[in-house]
Amino acid sequence: MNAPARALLALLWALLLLGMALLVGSRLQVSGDLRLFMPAPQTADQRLLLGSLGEGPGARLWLVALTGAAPEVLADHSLALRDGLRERPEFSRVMNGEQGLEDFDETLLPYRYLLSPTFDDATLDGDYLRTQLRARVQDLGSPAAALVEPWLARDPTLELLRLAELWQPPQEPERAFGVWFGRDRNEALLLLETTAAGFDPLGQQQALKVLNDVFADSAEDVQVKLEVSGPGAFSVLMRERTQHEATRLGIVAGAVLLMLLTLAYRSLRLPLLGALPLATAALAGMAAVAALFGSVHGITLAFGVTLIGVALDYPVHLFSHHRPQLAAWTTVRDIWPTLAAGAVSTCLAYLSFLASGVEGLTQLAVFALVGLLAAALCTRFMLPALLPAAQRDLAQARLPLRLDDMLQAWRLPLFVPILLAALASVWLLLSPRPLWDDNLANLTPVPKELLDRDRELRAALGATDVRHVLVLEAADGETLLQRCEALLPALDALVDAGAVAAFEPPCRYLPSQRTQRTRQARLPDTATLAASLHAASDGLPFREGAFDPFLRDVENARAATPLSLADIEHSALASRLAALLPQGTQAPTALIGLAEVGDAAALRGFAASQGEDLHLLDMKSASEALAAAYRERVLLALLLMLAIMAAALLAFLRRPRRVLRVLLPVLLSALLVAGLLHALGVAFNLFHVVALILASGLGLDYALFFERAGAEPAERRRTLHGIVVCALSTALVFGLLASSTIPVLRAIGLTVAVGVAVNFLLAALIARSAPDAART
Amino acid sequence: MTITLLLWLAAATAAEDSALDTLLARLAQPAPASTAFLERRESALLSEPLLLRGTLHQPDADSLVRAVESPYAERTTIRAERVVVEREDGSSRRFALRNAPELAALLDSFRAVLGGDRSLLERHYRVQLDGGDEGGWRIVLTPRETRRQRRIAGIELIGRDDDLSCLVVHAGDGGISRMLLGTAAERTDEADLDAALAAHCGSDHE
Repeated sequence: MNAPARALLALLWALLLLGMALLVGSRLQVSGDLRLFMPAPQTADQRLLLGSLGEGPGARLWLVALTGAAPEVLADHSLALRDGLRERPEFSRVMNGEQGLEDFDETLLPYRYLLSPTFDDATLDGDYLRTQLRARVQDLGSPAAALVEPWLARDPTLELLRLAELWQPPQEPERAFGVWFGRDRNEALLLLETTAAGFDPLGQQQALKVLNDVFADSAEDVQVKLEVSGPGAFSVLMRERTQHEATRLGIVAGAVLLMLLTLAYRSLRLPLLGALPLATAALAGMAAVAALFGSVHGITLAFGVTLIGVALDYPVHLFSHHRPQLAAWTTVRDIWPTLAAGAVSTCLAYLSFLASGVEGLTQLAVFALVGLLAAALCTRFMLPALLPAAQRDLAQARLPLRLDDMLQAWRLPLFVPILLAALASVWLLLSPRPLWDDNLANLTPVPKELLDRDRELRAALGATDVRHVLVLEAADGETLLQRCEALLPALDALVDAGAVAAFEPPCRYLPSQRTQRTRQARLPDTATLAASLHAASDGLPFREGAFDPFLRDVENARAATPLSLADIEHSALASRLAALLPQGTQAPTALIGLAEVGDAAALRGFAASQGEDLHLLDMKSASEALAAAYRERVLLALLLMLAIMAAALLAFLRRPRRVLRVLLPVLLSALLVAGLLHALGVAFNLFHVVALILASGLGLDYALFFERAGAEPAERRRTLHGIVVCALSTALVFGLLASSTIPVLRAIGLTVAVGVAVNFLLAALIARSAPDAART
Repeated sequence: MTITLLLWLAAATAAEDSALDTLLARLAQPAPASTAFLERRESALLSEPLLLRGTLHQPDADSLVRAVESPYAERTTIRAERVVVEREDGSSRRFALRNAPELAALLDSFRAVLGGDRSLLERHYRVQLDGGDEGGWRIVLTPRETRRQRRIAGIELIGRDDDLSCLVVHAGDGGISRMLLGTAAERTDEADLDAALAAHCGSDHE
């Protein structure tokens, strides 16, 4: 094939990929929901935990602080922010301490006497009304008349205002200039509740954008600073940071890679051609996942692209073995058995993920499997058509020659790496430090200073704790609310005792039907109320009949069917209650939010003393238990992976001895790398495991190619050239990642870079056949 | 012809300009300043309007205190966009000034008139002075921003010589509130309020 035809073909391929990218892109719903990478919950607590990771009382709350100006100015911004956000669909609640009737949900208006505890102690009689009406006269005479006047005919006792106060957060911060402030008044505080669940990164991102836009509109003074804290906001922040850093490092890595490959092959064309199988692999993987699962998980994508990084090695092997006077098709047929053995056994190994029962890992397996096969097939059946004739035989190049000589001279008894690996295993087993990081939060780690700030703001705002929550279960919803009400006095006592600063029970927003009926019974009938009202208005300038709507409302309240959970589905209370009354649990369950837990042991003791139906859920220990269960599954999957790989290799290589020579360096490397990382103080998580799998996959290829090369010097050098280019490029790219400040990227980068180095050395030592007669 | 007209207009505007400056200078009182008020408030809920008597007090340029003395005592303090209403029973309520546009209009007018600060006045309002007969005058303020206009359509400050005697606020929703000020407020008896409003606040009183 001549040069123009090849160029055309390459262009066609690139166009095809572009088309595929557009197609896949439209089906791509990148979600960052980490729960996809968790095992199915086994216990009720784990179910609650996974639910509340996104939707719990704390997960949708944003804590907002305005700083950098005088308190008056900050208060103005706080007011403007609330004004701007109140009507936005992205936020279900916007609170800054300002009390107003303007955003009271009118559908709840007739039920105000059933929801409010005002008349549990007081009576709606003439005396009560007289005090209230007198105050209303002054309200009408005050400059704020316009604020209350629209409500007065229906609600002369301003019951709405009392409900609005009741529904403020459980514990209020200090107020200045009418809005919430931090303790020393240098920050105005707001509490926002997003409509989007905490784990919905796109919803959270959209909400954050709206917040920033509204803030930018209102903040003419540039010195006012907006700070947003809370799990949802963090996830957006971390995602942006990670993307930003990954993009930055990706560009640098791409440039370094291009340079390395250009130098290695003295050609600019080859590196570009080498990218084609990789891009094909990524797109094929995405398309397969999108077709099978409907959407591609953001983490699947990130891990998947990492895992198929090995696809870049396939064309490199082809390039290094390509030589003058030999058709590219011949070269590819030569190396194909080895390449296929590596690809197929790696792919088969990923099948073990399917057995893990974790959806995210299943997606990952499909992605990697389809991707790697696509890359291997591209290298075998498409790439040779594009390859120009080789300019030189790399076996004659200076560097492979020297390196080959060095490796030939390198002798190390086999027992040394085996001994080292054994030592590493013992070290891993006996080390006093925990091997695993079970804190799920560390999978998407937030910088410590942000967490500290979050704790500070949470305390200042009295927002509910994200770690502890009281869980109440009952046979049905009504019993649940009644039990919740019965607990209130004891909970108040706990607040007095200092075990917790405040609590937020669902029955504060929605009383049980029994309580609502009691309140109905305490309301006077129309005749009595009309008489009281008449007596109370005596001497006050109210028009006769001005409060008829009020009489009707009370009468309606007396006759109304008490509110149930279903009735408030579309009201302003719904989002509040959804967090406290989670759906999808086996038994009806209520969560009692806790603010500033001071004495968890006292709470646990209290829960135990209240009976079987109440317990304290510690999200941290529940999540650790979950992570431990999860880890066992992953480790089982890894063992299975090893067995499958060994079987596949046996099928390809036919002799157990050859299988051993290929597998041994990979296994020893994995142990050594794990030991090394542990010695460096790394606690393992999912990211390390995935990275180690990648490193092992790469190592397997190195070992296979070393093993294939045999003793013939020229072939040995070409192989060496290919493997060195592969290892060096991988180590460089992932070494760059290791320099990242983002823990996730650092974890993957460090593990792969170290893994590749160790794998290369051990594969060269064990799988290379050169002086082995003397050694084994 | 056109040029003559323009010149005449310019001259008239300039004359009005300097007349406004003179008037503002005459009205200016250094803080602290205070003036009596008599106000009538109506509501669909009330059988008869509320007649409120008290003092408007400006302790410094940026705040205003509205102290109601009868028929009950109540003290409203505006400071830095914040309003605090304190009642006899010790209760107090706070809200943002923007929730009480009428009060904001009051503060703006007072700030500008008592402070003699024309530039402050013109920052938010278009200012027009109508000279009347026998030393009477009327300053009409129209909000510049449409957002403000939705709440306050206009403010009229009406007086004679050095004495500001009436404040009319046209709310954005069409409502009108009138307030007698200064000596006019002091001299008017509650029973004669309607007549006094007609006399001091101009002919368009219904």
